Amino acid sequence: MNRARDKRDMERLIAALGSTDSDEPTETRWELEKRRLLARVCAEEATARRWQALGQPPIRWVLGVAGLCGAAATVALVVVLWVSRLGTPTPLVLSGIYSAVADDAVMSGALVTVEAQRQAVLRLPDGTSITALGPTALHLDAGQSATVHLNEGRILAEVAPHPVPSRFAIITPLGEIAVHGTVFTVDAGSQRLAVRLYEGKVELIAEEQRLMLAPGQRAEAGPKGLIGLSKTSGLEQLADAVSFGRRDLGVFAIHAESPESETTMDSALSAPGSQALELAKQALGQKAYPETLELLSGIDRSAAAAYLRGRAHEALGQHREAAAAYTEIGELSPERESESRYLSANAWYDAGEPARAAALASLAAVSDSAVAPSALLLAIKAWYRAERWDEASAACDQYLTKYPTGSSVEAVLFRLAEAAGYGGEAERSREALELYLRTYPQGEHAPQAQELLGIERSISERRPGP
Amino acid sequence: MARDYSTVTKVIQHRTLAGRNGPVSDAELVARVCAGDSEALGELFLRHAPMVRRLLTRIIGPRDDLDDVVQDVFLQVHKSIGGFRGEARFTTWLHQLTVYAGYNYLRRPRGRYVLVEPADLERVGDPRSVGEPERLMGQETLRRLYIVLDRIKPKKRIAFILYAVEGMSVAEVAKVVGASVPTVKSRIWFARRELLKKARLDPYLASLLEELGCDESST
Repeated sequence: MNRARDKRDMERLIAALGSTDSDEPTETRWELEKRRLLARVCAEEATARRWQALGQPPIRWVLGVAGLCGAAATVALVVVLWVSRLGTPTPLVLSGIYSAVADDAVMSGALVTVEAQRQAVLRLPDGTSITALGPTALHLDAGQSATVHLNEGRILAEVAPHPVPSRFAIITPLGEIAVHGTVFTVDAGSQRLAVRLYEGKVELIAEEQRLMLAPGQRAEAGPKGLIGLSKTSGLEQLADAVSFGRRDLGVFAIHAESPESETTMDSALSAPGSQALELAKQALGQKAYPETLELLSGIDRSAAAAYLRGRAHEALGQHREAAAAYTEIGELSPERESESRYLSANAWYDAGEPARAAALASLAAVSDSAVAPSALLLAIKAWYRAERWDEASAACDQYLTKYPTGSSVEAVLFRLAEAAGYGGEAERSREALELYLRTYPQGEHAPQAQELLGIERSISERRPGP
Repeated sequence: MARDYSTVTKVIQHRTLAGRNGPVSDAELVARVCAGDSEALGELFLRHAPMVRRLLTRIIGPRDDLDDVVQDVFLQVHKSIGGFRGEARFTTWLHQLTVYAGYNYLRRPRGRYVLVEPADLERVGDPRSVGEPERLMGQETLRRLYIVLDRIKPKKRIAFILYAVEGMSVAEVAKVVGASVPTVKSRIWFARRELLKKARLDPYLASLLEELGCDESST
C-alpha cells in the first residue's frame, strides 16, 4: 500500500518537474543574448591582451597591490590603537579583600577589574560589600559610593540599609537595579542581565520598565527591556552558594528541596579546602544529582560552580548559556575536559546546533574517559541530524571499530548504511545493509534494510536505456 | 593562450574533402571557434542555447539569473574548446559543461525564485480552492518543489533530474556526471526518497498529493 502510494506520489512530482519548460525566450531575445555573449567574449579577450601587453603575470600585480593595501591598513590600525590608549586610565586589578576609603582610587571612580577564576570582595565605607567573580569590570560613580556601574560580570551585593533618597543602585548596560538594603546577585552580560534576590527588596529598571523583586525571585532583562520574573530555581541558588561561598544562599534551596541535607551543605560551605568540596559533593548527591558525584571528583570549587550554573541554565531551557558554563569546567579543570566537551555538546544539540554539538562530541570521543562511547554516539546522532553524511558515516565506522561489542552496534550499523547512502557511497551502504541483515535478521531495522536493498537493486531494471 | 590546432585542421580537411553543402555542422563551427571566429560561437549559441537553457531550468529551477548561467556555459565552451578533441559529439560535451555549470551554481549561495510574485501568491491561497488560475497553481507547485530540491545535495539532485525528468538512462547519467553506475543508482534512489519525504512535509505539496490521491481513488 505504502509502495503504491510512494510510486503514485513520485510520478506526480516528476510530472510537475517535467512541466518546468515555460517562458521560453523568443528568437529576438536569443539574438540579443548572442550579442551579449559575444560582447563578453570580446571583453575577456581584451582583458587577456592587456595583461599580456603589460608583460607581467597578472597575479604578481594583484599580490603586490594587495600587499601594499595590507601594510597600509596595519599601520593605520596601530596608530588608531595607540591614540585610543592615550586617554584610557590603567584599570585597578583586584583580588582578595579590598576596603575602600574616601577619596581613594576606587571611590574616585577608577575602573575595577577582577580577572577570570579570581574573586574579590570590595568593602565600601558605608558597610556595603560587593563580592565579584572574575571576569568582572565595574566602577563607582566618582564621589558617590551609592552607585556601581557593572559593565560585565557576576557580583553578590550585600547592601547596608540606605536612607531614601540617597539609595544604592547598580547600573548595567541593560538596566538599573535600585536597592533598599538587601542581599542579591547580578549576572550582567551584553545580551542578558539576571538578578536573583535573597533578602530585602530590589527594583529592576530596564528600558523605562520597572519590576519589584521579592526574596526567592529572579528577574531577567535583555537588549529590548525586561524579559520576566520567576521563582529562583534551587540549582541557581546552589550555583550562587557555591560560587560566592555563601552557605546562606544555598541553604534556602536545599532546605526547600531536601530539608535533611541542610546540615551537610552548611558544613560543606564553611569548611576549608578539599574537605569543603567533598562535603559539597555529599550534599549535591543527596539532592538527586548522582552524576555530579562522578563529575565533581577531583575538580575545584569554581569548576563545580560552573557545572551547577550549567544545570541551572538547562533547567531554564537556556541551552546556549548551559553550553558556555560546561565549557568553563574544562578550562578550570583540564583533566575533566572530555566530560566538559560532552556536556557542552549535549547542550548545543538541545540548542539546535547539531554540527557544533557533533564537532565537540567527536573531540570528547577521542579520549579514554568514561564518557567517550556516549560522546561518539552523540556525534553520530548530531552529524546525522546536521545532514553531514560523510562525517556521520566516519563516526559510525569509528564506533564499530572501537566498540565492536557495544550496546548500540545494531543501531549504528543501520545508521552507517543510511548515512553512506545519503552521502552517495552506494557500495559502502550496500555492504553495511548486507552485514546488518546477516547479523541481525530479526533486528529492529531489518524490514527497512530489506526495503532499502531491494529498491536500490531495482532502480536500473525499471527504466531501459535509449 | 596557445592552442593545439591539429585536431581542428583534420576536421576542416575532412569537411572540405567531403564537400558537404547545406547547413554547417557542429564540428565545422567548433573548428572555426578554435580558429578565433567568434561569429561561429554565436552560431553554436543560437543552435544549442535553447537545449542548454531547458536542461539548466530543470537542474537549478526557474531562477531569475538563468540566462546568465546559460552565458557562463558558452563562455566556458569558448575557453575550453581547445581541449575538445572531437572524440564525442559536441552535444555530449555541451551536456557535461551544462551539468557542471548547474552543479557549480547549486553549490553557491542560492539565487531567488521568480515564478510567482507575492501578490499572485496571495491570490493562489489554498491549493484546493476553486476558480483560481491553474497556471499560478502549477507555478506555485514548481516553486515549492524546487525549494524542496534545494535541500537535497547537488550531486544527488542532478542525478535524479537527469534520470527521472530528462529521461536519461543510468549509464548516460553516469557518463555525463563522471561517476560509476552504482554510485549514480544510489544517488537517484536516495534523492527520490528524500524528495518524497520532504515534499510530504510541505503542507501545500502534501495537500496537493493527498487531493490527487483522493481524486484517483474516487474515480
